[in-house]
Amino acid sequence: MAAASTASPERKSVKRKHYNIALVSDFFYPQPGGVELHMYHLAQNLIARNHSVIIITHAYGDRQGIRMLTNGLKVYYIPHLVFYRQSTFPNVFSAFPIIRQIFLRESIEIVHGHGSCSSLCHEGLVHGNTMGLKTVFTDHSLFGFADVASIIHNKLLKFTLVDIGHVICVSHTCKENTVIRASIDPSIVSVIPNAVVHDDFKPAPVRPSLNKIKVVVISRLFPNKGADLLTAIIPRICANRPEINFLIAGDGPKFIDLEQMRERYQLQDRVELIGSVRHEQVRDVMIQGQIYLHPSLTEAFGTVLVEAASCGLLVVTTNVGGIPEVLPSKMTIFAVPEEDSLVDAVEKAVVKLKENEVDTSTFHSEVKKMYDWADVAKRTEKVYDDVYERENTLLINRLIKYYNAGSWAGILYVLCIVSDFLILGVLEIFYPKNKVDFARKWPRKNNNINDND
Amino acid sequence: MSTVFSPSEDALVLKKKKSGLNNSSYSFKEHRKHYSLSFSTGWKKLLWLKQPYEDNYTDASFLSQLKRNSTVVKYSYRKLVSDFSLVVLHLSLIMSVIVVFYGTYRLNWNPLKPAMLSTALTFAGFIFYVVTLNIRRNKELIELQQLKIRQLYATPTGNNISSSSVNSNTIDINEVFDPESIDLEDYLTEPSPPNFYETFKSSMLIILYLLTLSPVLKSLTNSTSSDSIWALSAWLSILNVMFNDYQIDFPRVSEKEKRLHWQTIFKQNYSIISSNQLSRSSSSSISKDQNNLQTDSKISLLSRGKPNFQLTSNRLSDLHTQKAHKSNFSKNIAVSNAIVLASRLQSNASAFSFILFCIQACGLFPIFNNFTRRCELQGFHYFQLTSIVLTVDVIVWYLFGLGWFIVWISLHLLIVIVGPWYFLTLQKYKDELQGPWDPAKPIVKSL
Repeated sequence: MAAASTASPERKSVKRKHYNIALVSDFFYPQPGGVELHMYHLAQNLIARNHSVIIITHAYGDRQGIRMLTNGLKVYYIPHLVFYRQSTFPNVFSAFPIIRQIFLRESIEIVHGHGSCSSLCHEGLVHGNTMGLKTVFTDHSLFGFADVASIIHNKLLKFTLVDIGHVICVSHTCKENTVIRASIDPSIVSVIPNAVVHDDFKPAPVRPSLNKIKVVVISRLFPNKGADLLTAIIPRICANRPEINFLIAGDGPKFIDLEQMRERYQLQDRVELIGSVRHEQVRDVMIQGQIYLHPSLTEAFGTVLVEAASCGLLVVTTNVGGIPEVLPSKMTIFAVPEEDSLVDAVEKAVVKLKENEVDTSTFHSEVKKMYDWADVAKRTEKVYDDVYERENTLLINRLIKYYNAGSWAGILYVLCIVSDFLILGVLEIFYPKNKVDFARKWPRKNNNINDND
Repeated sequence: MSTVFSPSEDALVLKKKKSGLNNSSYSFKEHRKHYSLSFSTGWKKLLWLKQPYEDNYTDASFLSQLKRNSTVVKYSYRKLVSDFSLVVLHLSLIMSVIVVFYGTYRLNWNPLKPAMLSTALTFAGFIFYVVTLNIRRNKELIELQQLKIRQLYATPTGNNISSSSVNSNTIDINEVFDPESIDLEDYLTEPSPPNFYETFKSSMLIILYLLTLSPVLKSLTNSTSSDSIWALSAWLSILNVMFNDYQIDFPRVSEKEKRLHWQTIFKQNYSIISSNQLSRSSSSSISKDQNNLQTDSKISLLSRGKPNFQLTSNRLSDLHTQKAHKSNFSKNIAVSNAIVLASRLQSNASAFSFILFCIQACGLFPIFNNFTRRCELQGFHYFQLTSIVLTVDVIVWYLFGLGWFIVWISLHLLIVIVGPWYFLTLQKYKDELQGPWDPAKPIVKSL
């Protein structure tokens, strides 16, 4: 990357710093999803770059305590938060004692929260700030401004991001959204996209023939994922073109609608509904088809599009949210979220494939160049370098910042921060820092292979 | 910048940018300065393209897609006044209840008189309601039939379904299409008028309940002091005003929309023929489990366009669901207020007639008033409004004196004149933000 090379000369003299990083989020394995995968791959690649990474999440059922994943990735499943998970009231202080213990135990320097819906992430960032650690936040989702849920979310986000070190967004649209939602300076917001593991998304060794076109859809079947559009266009496409079949993976409240549509139009042998699939199986599902259809109504990034392109599928998608930024026009056919437009786009895709206008065989190698977790980790590391060098804000300046964040909310924010400091003091008395049992770190690789790139 | 560039263009941009590499070390602010001087940066809002900019680079096109206040409605003062007058009407209804109570409790009015008056008015209103509904419904039916006749003239039909299933391979649209099987009554947008007998039965039931319960109601709060009852009643009245469903706008189906919708009913009958035949031929084989059986039988029974109709006419089905979502909260409060107050009255007859009056004034009259406004009988609505408000005003003057009357009238003026003005001045604080992050509204035409 060009930008990285310009920044490296002045840092070359200094020995590269290896950080102790805590990724904090409510969402992690065993729950499936984009944030979870992002965190896991980011952690793995940071470990590969000789950082020490832990993940803090809440307990999932009997999955409590500390678990070790590949390459010494330590995951803390905090038990007591599960109870509060459904609660809409932001729990500002409840996890502070345990989070402080973990931060001290692992001698954390950088707290990196993920997902604006996660209250644990917000707590981690606020308490991290209070403890004088550096904070980074990654936003994975888009929010509107009109409904009550969004307003509450945005207030909460504003509170967390008042004194954030740096924010990472997964797309430029997401950046615009986050900057407005939290009213922060756009210069501390970086755009670092998601990536895919290329080896897990290789195209089919033998490409399916073009006599029968199979359109693959992998999506949770929710209204905001465009399930209604999907239900509307399938019968029309099936009536127009007898060679098109559908393969739909995913579950959700709109599954019934799809089933009913299939019954009504007698499309049992042309529309296959296989329910939810695990992420490991996504590739096996994808390579059965030639076209990937994505009718979503909102999307911050759309990792699944990259996965589909990496599997050598031609992508037909709605141009909403951050989707237009994700893939080049030769891999995608864009439609507006309307029934007619989507039907046209699918038919255009079929024609393009049949007339050999697109060469899907090169998609995999091209996507490989575009999105790579190692690259994401490198760029994230630059963000860490940036925040690490920054001075901590003085408490009084911090309070002024919080006070100015809103007319009524500002007072509330200040109250929260002041009590956070008091709680920190109390914790310092009851569990002094020098009594904390420091964890031994997983042995770092001593070769500096990554230092010279 | 959501447009997508062809690969050759992308490569060109990349090449061009490599030369201007030193730009990247600019901080955001410096860059903005730089931008204001320079003419173009060539930065593209793309993630897949590796661009020679820092990750936290903010282009001048940042937030260019942000839209502000695009859905804001312009309000007219006149319309707002007429909307706010509904609040005054509701206040007057509640005041009428209080006035009647005051009369029977303090001034020993004959409790039967107001109840009889309100019953007579309710009866007349009911007759008016049924007659108007019938007239409107029949008018619509005639329109629909005319449309059907015109459609039939346009397409010569032989209405035999049995033959169509035999030669289903040669799909002859006109043979399959059987307009006789459409029940026109199902497609009317007007609701059907209530059944006289049923209404009589249920109202008698309520009256008898009230009669039998009135001795109980009368002694319900004997152990409570009157002051707490007045306080309770005042709170209930305030809650009643706050939570009343004023129904300012009614979802209306315009004439044009209705016609279009009806025309699609006929068109649907053509378009679903092929699927009909499919379902007819294989309906026996699919219906295995209960669920399938239900959906499938529904399809085959109603396959003459009806299920399709239900799904296409989103607008019309919206209309029906919205009717179902009417809030009855304020009516419940009104009844509890009536019961609380009735428990202070001396005789069974007065408790009974007072509650009856309350139910008619606060429960039934708002329904009737909504009906007149839905039917766009504006004159009649204003007649109701002025007569009720003025009557209550006059009674307030006589019963409570000039001082209270002035307070009462100024409350009216505050609501009708100052309220809309305040509402309009608040509009300037509206700040709606819309952008590419908002979930798109899909346009689903047909199923």
